Amino acid sequence: MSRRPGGLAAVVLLLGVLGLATVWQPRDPYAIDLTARHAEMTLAHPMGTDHLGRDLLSRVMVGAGNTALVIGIVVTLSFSLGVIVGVTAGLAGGVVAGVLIRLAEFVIAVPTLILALTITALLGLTPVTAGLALGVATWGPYGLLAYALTRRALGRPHVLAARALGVGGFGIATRHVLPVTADTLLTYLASDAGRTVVSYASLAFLGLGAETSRPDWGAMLFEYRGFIFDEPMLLIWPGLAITLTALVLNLALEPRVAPDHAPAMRRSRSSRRERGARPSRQPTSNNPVAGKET
Amino acid sequence: MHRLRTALRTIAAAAGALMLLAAPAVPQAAETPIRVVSYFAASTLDPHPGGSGWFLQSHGVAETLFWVDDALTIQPKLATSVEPDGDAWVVTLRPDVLFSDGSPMDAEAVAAALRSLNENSPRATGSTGGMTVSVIDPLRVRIETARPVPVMAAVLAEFPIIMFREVEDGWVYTGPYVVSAFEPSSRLLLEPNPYYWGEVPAAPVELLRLQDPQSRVLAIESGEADLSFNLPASSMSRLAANGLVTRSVVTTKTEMLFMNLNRPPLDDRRVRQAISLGIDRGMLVDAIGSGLPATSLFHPEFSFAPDEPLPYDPARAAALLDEAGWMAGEDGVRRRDGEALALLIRHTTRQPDAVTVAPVLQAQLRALGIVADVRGYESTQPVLDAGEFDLIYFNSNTVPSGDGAFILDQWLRADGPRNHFGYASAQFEDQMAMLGETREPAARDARLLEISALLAEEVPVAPLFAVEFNMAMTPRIADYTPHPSDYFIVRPDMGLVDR
Repeated sequence: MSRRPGGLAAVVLLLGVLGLATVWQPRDPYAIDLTARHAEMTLAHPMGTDHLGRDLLSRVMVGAGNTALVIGIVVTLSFSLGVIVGVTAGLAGGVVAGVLIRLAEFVIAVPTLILALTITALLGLTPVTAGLALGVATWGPYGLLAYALTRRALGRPHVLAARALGVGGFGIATRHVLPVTADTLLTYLASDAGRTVVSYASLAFLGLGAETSRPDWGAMLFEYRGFIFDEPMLLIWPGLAITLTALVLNLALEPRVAPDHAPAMRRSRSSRRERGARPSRQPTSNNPVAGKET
Repeated sequence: MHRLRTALRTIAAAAGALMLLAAPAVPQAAETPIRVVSYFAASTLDPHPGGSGWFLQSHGVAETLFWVDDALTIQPKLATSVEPDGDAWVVTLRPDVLFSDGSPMDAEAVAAALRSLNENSPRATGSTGGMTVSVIDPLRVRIETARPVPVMAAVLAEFPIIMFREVEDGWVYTGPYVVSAFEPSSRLLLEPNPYYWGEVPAAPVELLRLQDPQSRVLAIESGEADLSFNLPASSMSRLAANGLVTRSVVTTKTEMLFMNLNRPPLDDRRVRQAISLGIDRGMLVDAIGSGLPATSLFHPEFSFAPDEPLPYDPARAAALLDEAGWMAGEDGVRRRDGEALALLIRHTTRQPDAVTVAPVLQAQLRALGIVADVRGYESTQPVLDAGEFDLIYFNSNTVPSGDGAFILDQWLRADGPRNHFGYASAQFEDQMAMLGETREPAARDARLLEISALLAEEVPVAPLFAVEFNMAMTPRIADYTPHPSDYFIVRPDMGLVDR
């Protein structure tokens, strides 16, 4: 499966911008200057200043760094947890699979934001705790997807042969299962990164356990909401940052579909949406693994 | 940009209308009620729980024997006088007061109410330590207090001491309004009380609680409220430009930073002094655009409040921290034995200007070398009970009864019902005991000034600024006069201009 042309470059560029924002901002994002409140957009303040005279660009950049950290933690945690549970369930089968899959389904059944809010309310909201909370709350779909893909891969003749020759579970998983399932799992991971941006912004907006003055994009939307009529750019900048980051991640990492496969892909997406955007426990017809099997 | 703003306002007005329409329905009065939006609404009609007296008095339902008028002086209300009788007090009642069911508020009823509060409401006994009440005649009661009380009128003006009569299905009160529909902590419909001893109000009132300050702005802006109370200062100029009547009043509420003396580093007086000296209160007021820098816990207009604002002296603050062993590192952060000087500040998200004040406080403390982690919460009491804070930022009416002793008894006495901060000072207790024995007003003022000076030295709390309440109203109730507190929001003279 291939990605959109330039997609990888867009993601690299995005990650570069987010990474830069983590380590450098043009001004101190916390510095208050009441004489420069609501300054217009100038070279000194390319996005203007807020009601306390703080440089908006610097605050958006700190928010970008926090968002990048959260994306990194969430995708790593949810992907790792989901794949380990799903592949283990696929290899073990029987009661073990039943328990693990019920667990994954339970995680899916609990609303992500509620679970993440509960965890961050207990631990306090920082990029790390938000990443851990969202990671724990979102590994379920990876578990189900990895389980379904593993079961299908285990039916392949060469895998059956390897098992007959006495290759252990770990060898089967690393040499025969993961190589053929990785592409599909990574595609799901890419789309999940976009969702993570919005989820983290939602958590920061609600602000339960959050540090009041930390310039997260969601927290900025909350802090500046009182200025929506008089200084709308205060909300537009962080809103734009959330939208663009989620959009770039979704579009850039979405797999490119050949024209003759497009209708099938559309049908598959429609049916997935109807099921609440959960991955099917059975691979879909456009699944590359399924395609090779059939 | 102008079109964008216009579009946003249109959307906001529609959203505000939808928000109010979506609220649970209350049976409507025959006349169109005056619609008041506030940040609180009574959670119960029972007079005994902690804040119940405040809520019911504020809603125009209940009244006290004395009250603090708009000029901040103590005046008789349901009583006509209170006189000393040895160590006790004799209260004479107004002869013309009826409860809302038409029954008389006589000495028996007052005695029953006071006894019930004495047994069931700890806040009602905060200043007295307990009351023994006896009836002299139909219009006079005699009150003995467990602790000496120098100004009984002030005690009887405290919001927990409201007059009520228990009836079969609840309680009846004496205020200008009667609750005809009630959704706890959400909405009340208030009908004029036909038995009210003063002028009966002109129209019913519908009171809606909207906790979020921006929602209160939208409610008045969309035309779905006639009066919206406690609004962010930043929205006032826009509301005035939109044809609404705006009023601001500096209240008897003081914004404060209470310090948790139960845990380090705030168990060290020098650190507390440094924090207070490192706060530029003028800048806080400038940042939110309203209020008055604090001179003490009390509204600066009171005769017992110091005249000069609390000092801002970062150099002295830095010296105190040095003296306490907290030395500034290359990164500007102060450390002692390798541990950074870090504090957890908590604030309620319900206060309209907290998100503005919090970063300013954080920046000012950072300039001192103190790392402040500022986090919001929904409700103050659980945070106080858990003690999980170094500094807690909130406001309170520090002179609810016209006398400064109330907040000191409640919040700072070692056995005060609201002392969650571990403050126990022998010197303060001695001064409070002397205050309790001082009845002459000028002498009390002098004592309270001494106590303010002591508190500025010991710093269990850093007063920040006197809170200004901002409100907006439609021209329909343009004659509304705000009281300098939130104890009398729904007022009997709240009439319709077009009536």
